[in-house]
Amino acid sequence: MNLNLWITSLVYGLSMSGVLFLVSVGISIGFGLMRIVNMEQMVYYTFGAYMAYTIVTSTGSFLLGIIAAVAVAAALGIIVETQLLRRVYSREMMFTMVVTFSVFLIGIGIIQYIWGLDPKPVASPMETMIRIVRVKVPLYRLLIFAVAILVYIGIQLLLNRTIMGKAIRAGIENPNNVQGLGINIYKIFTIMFVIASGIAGLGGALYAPLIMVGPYMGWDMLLFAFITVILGGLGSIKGTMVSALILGQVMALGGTLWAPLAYIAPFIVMFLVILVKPTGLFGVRGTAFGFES
Amino acid sequence: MNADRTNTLLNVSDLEVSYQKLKVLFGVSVYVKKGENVVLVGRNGAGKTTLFRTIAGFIKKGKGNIVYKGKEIDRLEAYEVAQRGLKYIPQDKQVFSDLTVRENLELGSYATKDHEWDTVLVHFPKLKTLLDRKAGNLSGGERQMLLITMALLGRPELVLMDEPTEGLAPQLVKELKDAFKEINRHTTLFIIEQNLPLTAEVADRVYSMKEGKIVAETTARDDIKEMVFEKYL
Repeated sequence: MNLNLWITSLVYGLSMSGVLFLVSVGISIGFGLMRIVNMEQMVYYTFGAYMAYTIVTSTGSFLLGIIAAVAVAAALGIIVETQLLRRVYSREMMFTMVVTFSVFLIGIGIIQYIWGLDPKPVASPMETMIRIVRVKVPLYRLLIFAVAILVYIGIQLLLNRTIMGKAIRAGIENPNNVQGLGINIYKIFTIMFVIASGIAGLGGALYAPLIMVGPYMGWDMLLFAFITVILGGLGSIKGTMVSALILGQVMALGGTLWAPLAYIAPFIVMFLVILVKPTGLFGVRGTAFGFES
Repeated sequence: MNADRTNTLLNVSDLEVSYQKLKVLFGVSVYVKKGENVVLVGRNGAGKTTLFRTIAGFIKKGKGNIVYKGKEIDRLEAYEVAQRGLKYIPQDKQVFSDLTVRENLELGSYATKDHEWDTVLVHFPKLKTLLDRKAGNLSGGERQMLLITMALLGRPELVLMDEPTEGLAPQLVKELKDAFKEINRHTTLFIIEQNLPLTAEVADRVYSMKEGKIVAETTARDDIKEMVFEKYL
């Protein structure tokens, strides 16, 4: 493999890592804080992509598309969390899985109803290429990664520098004890859910120019998002980021070496890590489903 | 169990609680008067923790009433019960281990808007030297001190403590006992305790619980000192 392929693969991997982080972080928060298997995050991701398509097609502004994607995804998140999920937090994991999976399917149905079945192209917001060690690579792919890093930094600042963030970290360890102090954990759930939904919408909008937007794009992403969360460790934002970085490179490099590897390699990596460290790379102690590190 | 109920802070009557089809509390009635130090004793599995968790809003009751400061609280969420000044310190000594002692206290302050730590740290001055230590690295005794200090922020009127001395060294138990007496000057305490000699020293009144029922209430100071409640366990 020559240098050209190595660098191109690295940059494609970084953009994939960025998208994986943005769509997975909500699932990680859902596992860690709310103890739910948050399958319907993929609806917000898909809606985000479709909003980008609709706004870019009608106005030509990708930035407006991004804003609309985040706003619509966050609004959907508020509706689903307050009207549905809040009623099932205390139920067993399998029940919440079925509920969130149902929302995912309903979301796909609504998307099909509004936009139809045909895949939609979204014009790339920039064609700029930059040189990395003499190799030309698309700037947009690096920008996706940069946005993911900014989102990661934003979440870390929220978690570590604000009292709300400290309550969230405490809630990931033990939501009951947070309530015992007199803190309304449900309000925290709603805030985090809306943030996570908006971020998933952002992921969908940013990824849209690189793929054909379709109603089932969430299916394709669902498994990889779960691998990202499990590999990183349930409830760990840092773990989700590190895991996304690893998987993005594994998928890009694997796909460069042998196309099917792009799909197989993430599973192999996940199994190997889980064999050695069942809680994932940065599993939070005492988190959901009896996992104790 | 007829007694003078003036100044009653907490009144639980005919409480029944089930875990799905398994009934664990059978018509439990207890009360706590303002300023009292009431201790609940009983063997493992008697239903003591279930009673406390139900009062604190973590478990929904089947039948009965829980009245705190004259108002029913049995339909409230746990955070609402805590906001009304009834705090519960669980048995497991689980502090927020990923946060520092200072951050744990900040959470207590955030919930109660009480930022005057000095008034609560006075009971456990050692914590002042541990403010920047991760709570996960504290010893069992230090964790218990931190939990009590967090619970006391916001000046709650009633604190429920679930086996606060369990697993602690005798010296620490003595320290906690002294702290209980000091805290009890301003705050009413309702404590689950398996340490019967300690109970005999600190309790104003003792409930004995067995198989989901209150089987005895010991009020006379001499009876408490002589641990007559032991025979009901």
